[in-house]
Amino acid sequence: MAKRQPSVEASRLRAARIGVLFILAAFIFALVRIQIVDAPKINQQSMDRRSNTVTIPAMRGDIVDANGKILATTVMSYDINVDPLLVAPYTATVDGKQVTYTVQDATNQLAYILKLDPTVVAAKLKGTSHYSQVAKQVDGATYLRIKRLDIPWVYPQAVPHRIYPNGALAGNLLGFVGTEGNALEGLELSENKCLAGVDGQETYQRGVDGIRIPGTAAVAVAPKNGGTLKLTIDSDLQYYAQQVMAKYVRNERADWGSAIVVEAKTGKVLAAAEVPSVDPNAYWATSADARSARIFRTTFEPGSTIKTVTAATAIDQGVATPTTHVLAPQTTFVLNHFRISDSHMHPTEKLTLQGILIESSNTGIIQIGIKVPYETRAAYWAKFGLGARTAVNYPGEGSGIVHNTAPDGVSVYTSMFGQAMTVTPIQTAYIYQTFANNGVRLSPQLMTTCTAADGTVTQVQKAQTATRVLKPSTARQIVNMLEGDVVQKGGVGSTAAIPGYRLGGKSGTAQIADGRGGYGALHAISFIGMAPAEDPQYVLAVTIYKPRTVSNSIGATPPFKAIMEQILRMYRVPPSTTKSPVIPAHW
Amino acid sequence: MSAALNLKPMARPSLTVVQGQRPSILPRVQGRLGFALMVVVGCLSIALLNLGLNLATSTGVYQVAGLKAEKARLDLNTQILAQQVDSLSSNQNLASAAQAMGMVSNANPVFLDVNSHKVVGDATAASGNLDRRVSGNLIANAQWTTRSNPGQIRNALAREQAKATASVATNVATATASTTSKTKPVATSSSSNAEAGYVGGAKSSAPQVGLANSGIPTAPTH
Repeated sequence: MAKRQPSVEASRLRAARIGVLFILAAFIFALVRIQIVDAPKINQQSMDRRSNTVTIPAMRGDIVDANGKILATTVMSYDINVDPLLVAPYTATVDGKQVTYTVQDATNQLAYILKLDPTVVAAKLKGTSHYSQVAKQVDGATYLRIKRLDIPWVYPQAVPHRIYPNGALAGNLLGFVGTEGNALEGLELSENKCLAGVDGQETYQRGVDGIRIPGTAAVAVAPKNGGTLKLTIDSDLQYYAQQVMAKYVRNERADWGSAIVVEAKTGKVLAAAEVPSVDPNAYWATSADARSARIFRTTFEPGSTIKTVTAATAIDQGVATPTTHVLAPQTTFVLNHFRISDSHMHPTEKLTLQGILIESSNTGIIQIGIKVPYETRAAYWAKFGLGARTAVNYPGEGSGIVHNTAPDGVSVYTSMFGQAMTVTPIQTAYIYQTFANNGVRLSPQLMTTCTAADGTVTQVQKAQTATRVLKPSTARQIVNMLEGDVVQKGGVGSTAAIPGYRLGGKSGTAQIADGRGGYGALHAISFIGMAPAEDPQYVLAVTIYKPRTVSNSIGATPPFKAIMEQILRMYRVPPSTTKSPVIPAHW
Repeated sequence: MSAALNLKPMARPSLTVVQGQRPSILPRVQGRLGFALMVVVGCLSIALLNLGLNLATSTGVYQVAGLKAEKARLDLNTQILAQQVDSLSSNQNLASAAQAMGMVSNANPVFLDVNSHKVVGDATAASGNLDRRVSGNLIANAQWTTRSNPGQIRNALAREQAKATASVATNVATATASTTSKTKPVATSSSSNAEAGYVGGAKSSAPQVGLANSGIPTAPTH
């Protein structure tokens, strides 16, 4: 059979088949590569283009006072951003009519609402990027006004913002957070674990027009809002105390002043007022040294308020009684050449221990204190909580300095009237809480609970400790003598008396070390007391640092009296119905 | 077996041409067309359904977006109002309003002991002494953006007082008319009314104040 030559058509057909097969193979190859080999990568790219991940901000928890009143909270504020590349005249609907505004019009409107200079706003509208921030963290009302302008190239962005509705009320205690929401100072910093939330993340798919596609949202991480921190502070009392201290610090031209109110039987801090106090809403407007709690941080020599500790130690050790006799000269010498004097001129007086406290006699108290070894007195200081930070554990809290063994001979004497040692105002207040609580010192309590967003309640501070420092009889005798200090004439204490009530207290006029081995001309004056003296419920410690119009504690009793009157009114303490004991001051 | 045995060659039938009707292709074509139509209609129906669903979904999306925007607007309004309330109830605002209205604090608290029927404390009027005046605010507050208007408060108080006075006058008039209409007014009736909280013929709406055993309100922290 003769071999047939393939026709041209058949050859072409074969070539076409081969071509088709080749193309088919290429397609199959591409299909396998796209659908199987590269599928995960392509899917991811597709998802990346469609999806958008946003942070769901967690709200920082509130800080509330003992009655639940909000002292710090978090709201949404708005950053006002613009896209400079889109800045152009725009049309907006006003009263149903289309109105065209120029860029200058928009600039003026933004500047007016944001209370900014128009030139500043105009500068912000220029740039080569898609982002420029005109204003940061404006409030909701301002945001609404901006939004009503309907400027297409303005993009407000919501951000959580910390606010303090009562401003500088307890500002030094609360501390503050930075503009980025990070805790910087005070309880905001120390209790950040309770207050801070954890931001969440959400991913969703969106259409071409930017509208999210329903059902595609996936919360990768749910936000966890912060907890609510409850304090023992009573904000109304805190405000009153701060007002009073502001008045007297201003009038006496002092560096600062503080007033601490303690509930004697529970150890709760009801008020811890300071002036000047930082407004956490605008902490940058306050000088750096006034932004923290001096009540916990500042240490200084306490002066005469420690004489009660010396007296209590001697009574508790059985070497003195309120009527122990001494001859108190104006000036005396110890260790042969160290001169110790009283602050006021007087002839040698026949004083009892009660009289020593009333007249705040240095030369008298050293005759009582010397009866107790220094180390024994140091052991009492430790039980009173001196030389150690309190249970509040406030950020940067000072511990003060007390020496277990006398650093030098004269310190044995000077420590009896509050020199050669340093304390914080909160430590001093709790010395008197110990007297008021029958000799039992309770650890200071400033915070009670942290309530998490899920309702879980935890105690913030460690369990309160109660330390027996003095025998109940000793504490009672001290309270009686403190009452004598107020009731009997002759001392500064009598100026703190409140008609109808029995109260006790002790003044202090402490010299302030000048850093050159001596003391400066200005003093730290104080008055610490309690009421009602027959069964003390409230302790108040007032300190005014470096007053310039008064030089002794007579400047501390008026604010003490004003605040104590308010405490008695607020807490419905009925006037006393019993008479004060009278302990002779002289013999 | 017998069947097999009975087999015998049969006469082969002769093949004849039968004049028959040629089978029509119409039913087959009709069947295919029907199927195609069904497919097309089905596809169209699915496409239309899909379109409808897409439209419904899109509308839903925009409704959801609209509702979310509405919620955001209401949340914002709530926040703005809450901040105004916080500002008005701040200690700074209250103290400032109190001072503007000339309020005076009384340093002589007085307590009524209902058990012993005694007045505890020295009941003296608050002094107009400047020291006793409520001090103007001295505590900074950058969040104090909304302030009370003492004039408005005074006017509102005056209106309330006028309303209360008119109400008491009406009640007294009613009570008098009621008493005079009776021939024998019952003394115990008014006494029981007083015990039940009726004052001047009108039931007191004031909440009762809880007292401790001593008859003196206990301290809030106790």
